[in-house]
Amino acid sequence: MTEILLAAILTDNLALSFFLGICTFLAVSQRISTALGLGIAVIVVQGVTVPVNALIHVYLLAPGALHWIGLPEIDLSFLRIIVFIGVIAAMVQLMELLLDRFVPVLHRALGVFLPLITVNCAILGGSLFMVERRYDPLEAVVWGIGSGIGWALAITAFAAIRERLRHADMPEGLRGLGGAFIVSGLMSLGFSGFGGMVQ
Amino acid sequence: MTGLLAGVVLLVAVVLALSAALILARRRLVPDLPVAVTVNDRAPFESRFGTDLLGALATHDILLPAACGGAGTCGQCRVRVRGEAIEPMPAERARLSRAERREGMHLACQIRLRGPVEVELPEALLDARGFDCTVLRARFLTSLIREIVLDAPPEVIAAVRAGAFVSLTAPPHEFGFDAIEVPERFADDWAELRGLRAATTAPVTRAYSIASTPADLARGRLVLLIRLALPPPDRPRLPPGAVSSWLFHVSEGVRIAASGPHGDFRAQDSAREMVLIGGGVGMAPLRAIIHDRLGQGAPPPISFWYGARRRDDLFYAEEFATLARQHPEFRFEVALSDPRPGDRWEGWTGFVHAALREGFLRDHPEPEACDYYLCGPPLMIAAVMGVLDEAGVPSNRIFFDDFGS
Ligand SMILES: Cc1cc2nc3c(=O)[nH]c(=O)nc-3n(C[C@H](O)[C@H](O)[C@H](O)COP(=O)(O)OP(=O)(O)OC[C@H]3O[C@@H](n4cnc5c(N)ncnc54)[C@H](O)[C@@H]3O)c2cc1C
Ligand code: FES
Repeated sequence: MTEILLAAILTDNLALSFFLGICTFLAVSQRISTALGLGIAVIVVQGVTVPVNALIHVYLLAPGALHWIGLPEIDLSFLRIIVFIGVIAAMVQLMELLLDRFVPVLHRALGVFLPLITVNCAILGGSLFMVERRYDPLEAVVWGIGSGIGWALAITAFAAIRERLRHADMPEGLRGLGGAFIVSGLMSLGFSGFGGMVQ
Repeated sequence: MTGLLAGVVLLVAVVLALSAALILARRRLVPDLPVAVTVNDRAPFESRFGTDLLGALATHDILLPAACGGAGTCGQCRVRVRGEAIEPMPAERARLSRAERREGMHLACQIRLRGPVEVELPEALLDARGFDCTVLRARFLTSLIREIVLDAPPEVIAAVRAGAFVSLTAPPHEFGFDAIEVPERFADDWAELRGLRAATTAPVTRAYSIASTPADLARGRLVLLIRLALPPPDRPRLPPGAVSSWLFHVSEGVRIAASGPHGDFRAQDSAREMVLIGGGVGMAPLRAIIHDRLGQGAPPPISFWYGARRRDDLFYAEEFATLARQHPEFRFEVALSDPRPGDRWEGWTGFVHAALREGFLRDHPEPEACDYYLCGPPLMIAAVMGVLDEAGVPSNRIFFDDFGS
């Protein structure tokens, strides 16, 4: 379990090792507070959708999963993506309702990037990796929350660096996105240092 | 076959379950509840949970100025919210100063009703109302400024204070600039504008300051000065301004939907010397204020500094020269920044802020004891602020209207 958690946060960091969810990563990392808010939203979405999708996978979709209603020969795994996306979409909508109600400022600051995490590759990637690595539902909980934390950690650290860099004396052409790409590359390099930590 | 069936059933079941969960969540989180809104100390009215405050006020005939239509960019729909502090939205951070936010100022278009609210508005705004008016007269004052005279209902006229503005709504329209009637003397200036087209598919609302004198008001007339908003020189392919183009196109007899009067740009109740500095259509509120003050009898000294490029851009100059002859306490000065040889200009040459510095601030015994009213292009306002600051005028003696730019 600890291995899965550490892998999810550090070695297999969705943003910095797999470069998933990079559009949001670059777009919502201007301010630490917004980045942290989105990071928490991703932890919640990931922490709910991955286990739910794991249950759906184990009890409904995987080959032989339906033996509990007497249909062991049926294999519905071809429905995986559409069902997973459905679960993610519903979860993101719920998140929108919650944020709009309780943290309206964050809701407004995230703007279109909140609904966009429905089709964020980091989120769907979380669920697909879970299937590929054959995590059981309990491991899926750890992986889901862990990968969410990893992504949140990456975007918050990235936003913190970008906030500082705004006052740095950078060449004109590198200000903004140019510098951001370089920084994310360096951070990724840093994260690869965790490589040998988990077997 | 069973596989297909199982797949369809499963998919439908999943979608149904997810939708049901969302519907339940929505019912909890966005309840359809009444919310009480209290304005100043009037009786509260009821609105619905989740609507925005600007819209809620509008349905109860409290029409805040809202040139951007609720996008949070014009900063006009200000209200003060009493009681518990609400965290400011990003748009509010951009539009309201720190001090204003501390006082509980908000943009009404950014507030969603989540519980009972009490808001404070200037009483004058509560007098604002929607009304229809008719174009009585329209004429070109310069090649890009048009004077439009509207008739307005008596209750609107009664609420007008010098310096106020009205919001006009242009209906959806489409026309080419070749359809605009231009007097012969401006035909040359207009030759290159003829190819422009104005078009909008939705009604658009913009603010225009009232330039009426007390005599105009007594006859029920709102005088407006409209400057045609042309595309920026470096991006000539952009469309011209929606509402100003339309107002250059309207002819006598056209009905216009309006609301107002709005605004808190007005003369202070003080006996201090008044200095008004303007350029372009910044003339409008200043003209109203000057006539209003001079009409009140025994006003403090007033001077009006107006900046233009050349003689062709001057308008109402005769009127102010006459006023200056009739009222010894009124002084009218014009600075031309780029007079043509044919102008035979003998007055101030250069920008108006320089004229103000040379002709007023330098020799005035107490420039910090006057009230300054500024209205004009942002660059002019910035330059004048600069020379006032140099002369030691504190910012609370300076009042300006930058037309929201
Ligand atoms: C309190 C107040 C008082 C005012 N009083 C007056 C007054 O007395 N007289 C007066 O003339 N004005 C006044 N204004 C300004 C007026 O309200 C309008 O802003 C002005 O007339 C321009 O409106 P418009 O609809 O014509 O132009 P808009 O449609 O708003 O366009 C504005 C400019 O943007 C350009 N543009 C169009 N599309 C784009 C694009 N995609 N990207 C970038 N630029 C674009 C246009 O060419 C134009 O130059 C006042 C404003 C305020 C807030
Ligand atoms: S309506 Fe323009 S800021 Fe609110």
